[in-house]
Amino acid sequence: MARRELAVATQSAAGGDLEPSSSSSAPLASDDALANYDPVAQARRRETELPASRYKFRPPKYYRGPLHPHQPPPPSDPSSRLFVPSPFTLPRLEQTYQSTIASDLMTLAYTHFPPGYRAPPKGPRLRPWEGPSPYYKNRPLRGPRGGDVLHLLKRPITFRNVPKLEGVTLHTMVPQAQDDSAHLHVAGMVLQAISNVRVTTHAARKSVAGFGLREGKFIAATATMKGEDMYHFLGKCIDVVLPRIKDWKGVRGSSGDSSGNISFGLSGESVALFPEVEVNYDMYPPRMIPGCHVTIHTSATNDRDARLLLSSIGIPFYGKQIN
Amino acid sequence: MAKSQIRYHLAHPLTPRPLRFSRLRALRHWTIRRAYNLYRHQARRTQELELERQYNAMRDACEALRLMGADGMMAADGGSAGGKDVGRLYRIAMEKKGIWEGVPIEYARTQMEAPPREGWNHAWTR
Repeated sequence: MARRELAVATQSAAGGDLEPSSSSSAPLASDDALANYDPVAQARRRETELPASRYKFRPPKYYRGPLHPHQPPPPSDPSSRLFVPSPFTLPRLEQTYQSTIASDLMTLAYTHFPPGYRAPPKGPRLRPWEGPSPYYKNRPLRGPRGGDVLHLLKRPITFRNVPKLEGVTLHTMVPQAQDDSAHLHVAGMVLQAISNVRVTTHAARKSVAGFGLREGKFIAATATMKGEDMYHFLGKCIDVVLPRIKDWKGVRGSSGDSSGNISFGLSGESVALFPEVEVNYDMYPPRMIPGCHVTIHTSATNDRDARLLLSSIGIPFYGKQIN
Repeated sequence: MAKSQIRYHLAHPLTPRPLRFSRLRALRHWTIRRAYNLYRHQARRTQELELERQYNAMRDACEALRLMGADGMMAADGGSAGGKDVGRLYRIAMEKKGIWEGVPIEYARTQMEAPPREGWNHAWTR
């Protein structure tokens, strides 16, 4: 036992992982033991192999649910299969947002409420059925006012809810992929190159004769970015790609889903302007670089705030702004 | 050729095998990661507190403006009480004229360590 500890101590000292407390304070082996120490012969004499020196944890390949006894480690653990070492950089856009844009937006949209102000009580968002009819009793609530959509609540911007960027989704649909899958592969490669994340492919859900779509054929690819990747992508887009698009007026002012997500489109020529595609443009087959839709998700709950945020990071808007 | 290259590279598995660390390397990794997370948490907390401080300062300034008369004195401090001049600056400050039309494009310059000396080419036309 003492011999083994000595061997371990010398090994770790040579490797630089010196722990002065426990292992190096082991008593030295006697001369007799040192003279008889022949690990090779000892191993030859041994009939069966020794078991592994320590328990080696082997993470399961698939997550089998919360009740399974064999649970994978958390994604922050390096032994996890989902572990991604990051972040490596502080993107310029993120730094600019944190240092300048956040406080400027908060100041710009400041609304003053005198002390003691209580907002006047509002009616319920979904009204109950009221009337003499006995069938109104126990009915589910009426639908939202003015349509089928229950819009998100609009709250004044304070230091707690300054709108910020949450994610970017790239989406491209290549109907030619039904005949030749190379189109989809090239589209996936292009999206992966400009977004730095793996793409997800999607099949057509139903046949549309007008578009020539057939159900079940894989025709689209999406890439969803968050955090560092998102900031790098937007930085490239704003500083390199968008200024070089010919006759680009900006994003249409009516774009947006009225809950703070704004989309715009890039043509194939514009996608080819991304530096990752441009440096080895010849790698991609000619006329196969697809255009794509860019959806920017923000934490704003209405399009007006989202547009203010995007225009402050450098995405211009044109036309009438519809909220 | 290009297509088969692209297909080859796209067909690789999603993730490589998981990392295996020895005991001490895992400990070192854990320590560094923990320290870095703490650092990021503190940085984020500092930013939040700074935003909150700015907001509170704005609120106090607006409250003072709201109660201020034309002579810059509060009504409670013996200034000119009442009248339409009380809170005039506050009403001007609360105007949101032209705010939601977006900020000028010159504002949107990402900050960098070595910005160009001539930052914006004002003579440029298409």
